[in-house]
Amino acid sequence: MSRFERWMAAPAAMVLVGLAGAVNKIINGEHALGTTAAMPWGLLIAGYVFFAAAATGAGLIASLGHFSGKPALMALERRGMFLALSLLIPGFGLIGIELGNPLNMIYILLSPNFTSGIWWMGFLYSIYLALLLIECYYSQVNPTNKNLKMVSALAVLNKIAAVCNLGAIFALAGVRLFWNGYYFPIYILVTAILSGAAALLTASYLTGKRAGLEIEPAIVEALGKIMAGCIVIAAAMTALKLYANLQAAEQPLRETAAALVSGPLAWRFWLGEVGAGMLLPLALLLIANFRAKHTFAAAVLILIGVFAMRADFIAAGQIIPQVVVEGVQHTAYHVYSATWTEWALLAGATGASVLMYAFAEYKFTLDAEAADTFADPECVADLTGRRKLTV
Amino acid sequence: MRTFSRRTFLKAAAAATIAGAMPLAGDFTGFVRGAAEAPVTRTPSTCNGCSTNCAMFVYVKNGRLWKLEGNPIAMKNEGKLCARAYGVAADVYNPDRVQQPMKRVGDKFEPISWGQAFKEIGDKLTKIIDKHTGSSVLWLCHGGKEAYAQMLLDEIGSANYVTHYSTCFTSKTNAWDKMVGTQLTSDINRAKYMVFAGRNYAGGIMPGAMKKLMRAKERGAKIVVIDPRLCELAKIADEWIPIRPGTDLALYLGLAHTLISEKLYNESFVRQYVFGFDEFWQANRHFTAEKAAAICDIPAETIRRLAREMARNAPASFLEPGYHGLHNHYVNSTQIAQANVIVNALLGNFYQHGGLMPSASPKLGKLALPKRLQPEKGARADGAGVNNEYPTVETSRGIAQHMPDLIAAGKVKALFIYHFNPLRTAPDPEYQKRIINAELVVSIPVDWNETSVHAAHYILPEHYFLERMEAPKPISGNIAHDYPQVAMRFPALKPLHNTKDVLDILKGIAKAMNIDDLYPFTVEEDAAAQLKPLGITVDKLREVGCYEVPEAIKPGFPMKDGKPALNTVTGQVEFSVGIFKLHGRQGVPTWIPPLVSPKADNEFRLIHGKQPWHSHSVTSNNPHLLAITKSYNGTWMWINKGRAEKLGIKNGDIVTLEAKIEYKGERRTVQKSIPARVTEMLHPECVWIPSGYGNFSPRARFGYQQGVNYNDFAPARVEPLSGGCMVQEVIVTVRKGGN
Amino acid sequence: MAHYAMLIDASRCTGCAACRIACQMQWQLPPEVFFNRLEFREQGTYPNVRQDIVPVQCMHCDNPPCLKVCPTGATYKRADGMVLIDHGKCIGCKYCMVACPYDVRQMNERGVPEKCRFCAGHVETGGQPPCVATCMNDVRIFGDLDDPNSEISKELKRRDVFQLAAHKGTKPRVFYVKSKK
Ligand SMILES: Nc1nc2c(c(=O)[nH]1)N[C@H]1C(S)=C(S)[C@@H](COP(=O)(O)OP(=O)(O)OC[C@H]3O[C@@H](n4cnc5c(=O)[nH]c(N)nc54)[C@H](O)[C@@H]3O)O[C@H]1N2
Ligand SMILES: Nc1nc2c(c(=O)[nH]1)N[C@H]1C(S)=C(S)[C@@H](COP(=O)(O)OP(=O)(O)OC[C@H]3O[C@@H](n4cnc5c(=O)[nH]c(N)nc54)[C@H](O)[C@@H]3O)O[C@H]1N2
Ligand code: SF4
Ligand code: SF4
Ligand code: SF4
Ligand code: SF4
Ligand code: SF4
Ligand SMILES: [Mo]
Repeated sequence: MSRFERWMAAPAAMVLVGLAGAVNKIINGEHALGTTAAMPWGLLIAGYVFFAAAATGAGLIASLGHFSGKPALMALERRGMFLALSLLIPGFGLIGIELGNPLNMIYILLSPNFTSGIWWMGFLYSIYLALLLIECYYSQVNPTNKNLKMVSALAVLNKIAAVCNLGAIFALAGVRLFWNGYYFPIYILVTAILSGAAALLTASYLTGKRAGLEIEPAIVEALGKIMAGCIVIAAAMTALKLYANLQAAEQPLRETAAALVSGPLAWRFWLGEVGAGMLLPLALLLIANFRAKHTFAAAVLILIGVFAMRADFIAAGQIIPQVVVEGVQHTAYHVYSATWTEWALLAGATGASVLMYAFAEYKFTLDAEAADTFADPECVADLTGRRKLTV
Repeated sequence: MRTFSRRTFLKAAAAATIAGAMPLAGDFTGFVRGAAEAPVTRTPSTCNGCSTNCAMFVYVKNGRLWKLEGNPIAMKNEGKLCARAYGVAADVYNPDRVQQPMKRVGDKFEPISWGQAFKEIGDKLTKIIDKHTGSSVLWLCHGGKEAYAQMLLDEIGSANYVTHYSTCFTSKTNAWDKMVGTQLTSDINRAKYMVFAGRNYAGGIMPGAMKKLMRAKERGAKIVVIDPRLCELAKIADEWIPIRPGTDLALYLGLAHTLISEKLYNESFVRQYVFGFDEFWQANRHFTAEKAAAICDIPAETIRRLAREMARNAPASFLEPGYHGLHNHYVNSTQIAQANVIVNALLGNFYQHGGLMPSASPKLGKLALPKRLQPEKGARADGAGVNNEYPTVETSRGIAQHMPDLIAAGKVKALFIYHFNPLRTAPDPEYQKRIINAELVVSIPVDWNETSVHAAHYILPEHYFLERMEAPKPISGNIAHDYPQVAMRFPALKPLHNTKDVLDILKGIAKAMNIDDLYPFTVEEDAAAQLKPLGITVDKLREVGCYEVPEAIKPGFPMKDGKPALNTVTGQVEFSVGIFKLHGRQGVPTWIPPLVSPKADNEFRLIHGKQPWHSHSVTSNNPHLLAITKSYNGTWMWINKGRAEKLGIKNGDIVTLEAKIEYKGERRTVQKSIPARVTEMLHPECVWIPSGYGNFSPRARFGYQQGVNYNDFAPARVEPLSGGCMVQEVIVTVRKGGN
Repeated sequence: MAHYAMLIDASRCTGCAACRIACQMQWQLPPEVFFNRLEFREQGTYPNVRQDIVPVQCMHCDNPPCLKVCPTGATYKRADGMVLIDHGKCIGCKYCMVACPYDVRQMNERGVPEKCRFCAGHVETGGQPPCVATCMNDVRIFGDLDDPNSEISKELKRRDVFQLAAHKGTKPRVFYVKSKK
């Protein structure tokens, strides 16, 4: 077994776990999930939003490189595209398994419903996938192709539309007060970039580290700044939203905000979303002034934090019983606890993501400067091996 | 407490599907599509969900049960069916039915053929009768299908036909029988003012009564509900008056006092039709509304107002005679029923429209059978009607809850238990389990009920009610209707399992005992003979399901030769019961306090009641009805909010109930845990539990160990006058937390 | 063309759940899938307390959010007002469940949401929905709004009615009688 193979054992095992989850979901359907009629969307949807948004964020940063002309970002263009692909496909996998009848997807084409956010999601993300494949293809085969410029330009619009629509799926569902309004499309855009940047940094850092290379400090700083900026915006948005909701006239809004701040979602909110997703990484980034190691740590924390954000956001929208009959005393909150199947599927998607990305690093040229090093299988093989690799 | 697991059901359902069916559990589209073209048959039947026996039509598609519709003619349901009807019907496919005869071998049951079972039971029975006479054989049953079993008992010389009624409402039937000679029923259709105490038609359901009550409401009649709990009927009533449980007798006496002292009662009715008025008044003239108020926790002013309003609307007003609610519950239950008769008689509403009317019953015919030479019957084993035992208990109903004592005393050697589950529906299951000590215990159920699993030597499963024809049943009792009716059960489905109907089971046993030609007829022949006087055929009834006899019964007190002609000694309504006096008791009711009362902060009277979607023990293994339970936290124990707060109990908290069982030299402590429903809808001095849970038959898998039952906490006592169980003479302590 | 609707007088309901299981039998549903439910409301303090029980089922909204969000057109509205689900087109995304303001949709064994069908296929020929027919308190009236002689048309004229969560703009076709108390 080569070092690469040995090193890939962990993500491969995760994929196997995920497959077990998938089999269980396929056999037992809805019962394999912790979701209920009252909380129909659970961790798999959160996972899907996490992966799809991170993919879009990574893609957007890649495009940013393309158009900004900033060398540090330009260096990330290809890695960003391949990373986006490695995030998007497992994300699709998650939602495909979550769907009760994925085969009926054909009706999205045959009888489209243009008022449906999910229809637009299917549409925009299919295009995203197609554009990504084209971009990735050309990046390897013919990086200087003239058409690529146009494709990239289209892709930027598509990505912004896709990720905003992702927010709009929730915002425009119309009846879940907490999700309503323009807040979430923007919030998702910001946090998508945040998680995309974090994923990119994590991937680049680990790849570089394996190769025994220092990442270009400019790259670290660029991504670090994006992360810090996004955190500040996201934190401000979250604080404003929760503050407004806690004061809101509508009781369900107050209750939802309370669920996050001091209710059943509080531990994940404070530890995950706020702690891991905002405070700690921001501190790491600013105190260490974008030093690679610290920025990497911050990025990993951000990925965890943003996943918590997704889970919180999905849960919060549904956790308060809807007021159907005025004055009915419900149990305070709906309960949802994820099953092993859901965790297994998330692990599987994560593993698949890592495998796909590593495979891309191994197989393709993602890095203009260090092309040779990265093409060396031995280097890639040790991507996460904690062994003796110090710069 | 274990919550219902859908996984087990799916598994079980899968097993059932393999066995042939489980329509409600299956994938409906498959079924509907498959059956779309199939012809649908519609067979009349009567629901077996409770003793209301609502008439209905059963729709069968592709040989599988599809759905039910109420029969619009039938006066007890007027086209309506309650939830339980659907549940018990679907249970025809319940995998926990007993699917063939079984014989106990050690702790287990082994399949046995019908032939072998009849032979073994017949042999044992013959030996027991030879040695101990026919009087050592007892038939214990739900009741209502007397005829066939009676014939066997007559043949062997046993007087021991015992029904479940002593666990239901014998103090009422007994008092009415002795005071009025019949059971009158409330004429909801024409009443203007109705008082229901301990009678919850919306929970202890009779669909037709609710239909009539709703119509009455629409035309402006008033409904008052007296119940420690805001029960389902109270929800739609004009007034809910909570009462301290166990003190209804005081309320009734207070009502009577007001009626008499304020001269609101119908004097001419009393003069003409009542015997013992003076005796009653002498004994109660000091029992004012104030006295009553102090006892029953209802303001004296309210008691007086009630009496005045009833009197103002009389005779189109009544105090509903009631059912289980108060009549199996207390040491003073018989007196409660007596006082009920008295309040109504004071209103002069007997045989009056809008008051109490007789229950119209058609006069059915009888098969002409050859006379047989039969032995003289010995004394009853259960003591009902026996001097120095329970002389005042009705012999037509008997005493069901003390079988283990009769067995231990050697009075009962062989016990048949038909359509009855005393281990779950009679008090103190630990005690009831000793039924197994008889020499021969044969259970005839449909499912693996507690009695069969824990006490039977043989289990002989009957056809499911949807699979059998039954002799016609008069639709009567409980509520008034102008026209007598009759309905019949026809087989809607082919028998699924190796079961038999009760007549064939009895034929088999009789034959094995070498009793020839005891039953020289079929159910259909019996049915035809019974219907004959009505001028209709079995086929006609098969069409309509329920037949209404065109002659209406008329109001008016029964008279003969210008004299009141009730079936009592004097022909009048007897306020004083002679036979009670004969046996050293009081003839008229006076205040008798309950046996026990809660005192400490953590003590409560344990009371119970029907929940609309469960019956006794029989529905508690139905997945659909249990799913309703799950949706609405149906197993939870109600507790008053103020009291709960003092004990630190919040809604949904698990609490532990504890009671001491001390009687006949036994001393046990019972502890059970259950979540609490903290509510403002209950009197502070009691806790209330729904009566349909607490199954402990491991072979009735869906309902196993869900919830608790009031019978767990009650000793198996016998109320001396009427034979009731006094199941609410029970104090429990309640504490937060499970055990 | 008929226009089906339902009128519910919750003040008559005593919570027996017959409507739920009668419907389950009509449509051969498993125990956990049910098309109508009850909401319980307790108000006041002992002994001055009252209870309300409100039956809730799909409102067959004229402006159904569930339909708006359905990506494949699996959820559709018939000309007679019934909102139905074409199981063959449904991808099981549960968006409709999230979008329904009345929480009336449930997943079935095959990953397709289910809800009250207004007994489509049974009422067109004059049948009454079992939830209506079985109810001993006659809580529900079902019928055709376009027929001025139908019981529901007459009752709607006669009574003061309201709709649940009407402020959400769903325009429900299930109406409730305003209680007098
Ligand atoms: N736990 C509990 N105890 C109760 C009550 C309660 O609500 N809960 N209620 C009290 C009252 S009011 C009453 S009336 C009694 C009723 O007491 P039971 O008559 O014992 O009650 P059920 O549960 O209706 O039926 C008992 C058994 O009858 C069998 N059975 C059902 N259908 C058939 C059939 O078609 N043929 C045959 N052969 N057997 C059949 C079933 O196996 C079932 O276990 O219980 C009293 N005691
Ligand atoms: N759902 C359902 N319906 C049934 C049956 C069933 O099993 N389930 N069984 C049928 C049969 S066999 C019977 S006997 C009838 C029984 O019908 P009911 O007698 O009406 O029913 P219960 O629920 O036993 O009692 C009625 C009420 O009495 C109240 N109660 C308890 N203690 C007291 C008290 O001390 N004083 C007063 N005033 N009220 C008190 C209870 O809270 C309850 O609401 O129902 C019939 N219908
Ligand atoms: S009241 Fe309900 S369970 Fe009893 S016979 Fe009628 S429909 Fe059946
Ligand atoms: S059947 Fe009627 S009374 Fe019973 S729960 Fe349904 S609506 Fe209420
Ligand atoms: S009630 Fe819900 S499911 Fe029914 S039509 Fe309205 S939104 Fe759709
Ligand atoms: S679950 Fe089915 S019916 Fe509901 S929105 Fe998705 S595709 Fe439409
Ligand atoms: S209308 Fe039909 S489908 Fe809808 S709840 Fe009633 S019975 Fe069920
Ligand atoms: Mo009973």
